[in-house]
Amino acid sequence: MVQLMQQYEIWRELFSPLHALNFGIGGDTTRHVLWRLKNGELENIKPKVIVVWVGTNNHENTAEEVAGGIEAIVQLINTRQPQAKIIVLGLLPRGEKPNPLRQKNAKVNQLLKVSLPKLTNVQLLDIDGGFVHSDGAISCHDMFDFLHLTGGGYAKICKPLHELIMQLLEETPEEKQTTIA
Amino acid sequence: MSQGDSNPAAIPHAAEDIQGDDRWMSQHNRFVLDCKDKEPDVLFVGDSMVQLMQQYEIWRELFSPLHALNFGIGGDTTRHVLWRLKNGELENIKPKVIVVWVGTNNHENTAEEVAGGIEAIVQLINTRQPQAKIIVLGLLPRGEKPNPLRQKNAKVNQLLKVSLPKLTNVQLLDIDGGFVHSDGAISCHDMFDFLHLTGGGYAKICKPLHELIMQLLEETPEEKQTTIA
Repeated sequence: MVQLMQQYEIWRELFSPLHALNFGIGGDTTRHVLWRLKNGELENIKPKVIVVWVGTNNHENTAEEVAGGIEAIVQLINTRQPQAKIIVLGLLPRGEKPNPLRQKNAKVNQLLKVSLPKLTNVQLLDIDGGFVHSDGAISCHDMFDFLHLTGGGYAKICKPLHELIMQLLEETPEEKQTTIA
Repeated sequence: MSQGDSNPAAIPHAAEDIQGDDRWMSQHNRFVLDCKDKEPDVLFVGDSMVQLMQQYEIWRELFSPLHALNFGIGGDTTRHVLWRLKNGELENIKPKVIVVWVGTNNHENTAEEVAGGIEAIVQLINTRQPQAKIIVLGLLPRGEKPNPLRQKNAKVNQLLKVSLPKLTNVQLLDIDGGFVHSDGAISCHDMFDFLHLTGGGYAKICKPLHELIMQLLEETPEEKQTTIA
């Protein structure tokens, strides 16, 4: 979900000007992200904001375990990057029609809603752009394979995400971030 | 050339819903519905290399005006494409050109089997859509550095170069846009994960592809194709 974002125009419009880097890898679970963050992907940098979006591929784990994996990522970042404000993105619904994975992802979000406020410098952002229609269906115009977002789908979620990032960047005490390149 | 029961890559097979949200079948069903509603002149079928093409601007620029439909599903092998084409994705339509791009995900098959699977797809299309001119796209190199899959994909292309001329109404288009540099590396600017193309990567390959499609459309004896929407 993170990796593909960079392939659309919206990345260049909204996030490149903020000097953003994209460390998304398709198929990754919380375990993969934890390994990567422990093995160099947090070295030599000092970002003001870190956006974490992972969990939908944790097929071998329960919702509780997935939420725990995300919390472990947050705690790792707190340790290595104490200055960074963390945004955890909620997992999106998936599949064309109602199915167990939608319930699981929603459960992960519910658990995080309770647990993240107890951690430091982190907030949960629920960016569900109304993807599930009244008949329970998700449109391929939002998710071309009922999992990955189209350009239009990303536009819906990037708006609130961008606003929150801007807000957090402005709160940073150091020199003001130049936002428009 | 091997096919049918002796070539596992040529046995149609629907994907199983392992993850639990049945997305493969949802996508297939959508394509079958598209066949009932729409009248494509050009049909693209294959794996994620096909599917992702539609997410970039280039699709709207070059292929939408040609009344093209995109029946790509990420992860598909020749077996999946064969199953889909046998189960509704060639019904109720009469495209002039069909573009086939699949094979890079056939990890359990040898290069010979993959080539055989692609040939089986061509023969199926010949039977169901005898009027359609088929373009088979060569498999692209993959991976940041030289690795066995590059050799395998190149071998598939070599085999097709020999076998496809013996089939009807089909040609092989090798669209390798110079992705492998002199040091053997592929750039993430062309393939963001060293497999899937970026917008820039697609731009390189779509140019020759678009030209060939236009050429084939113009050769069609029926009414001239209106190309610019």
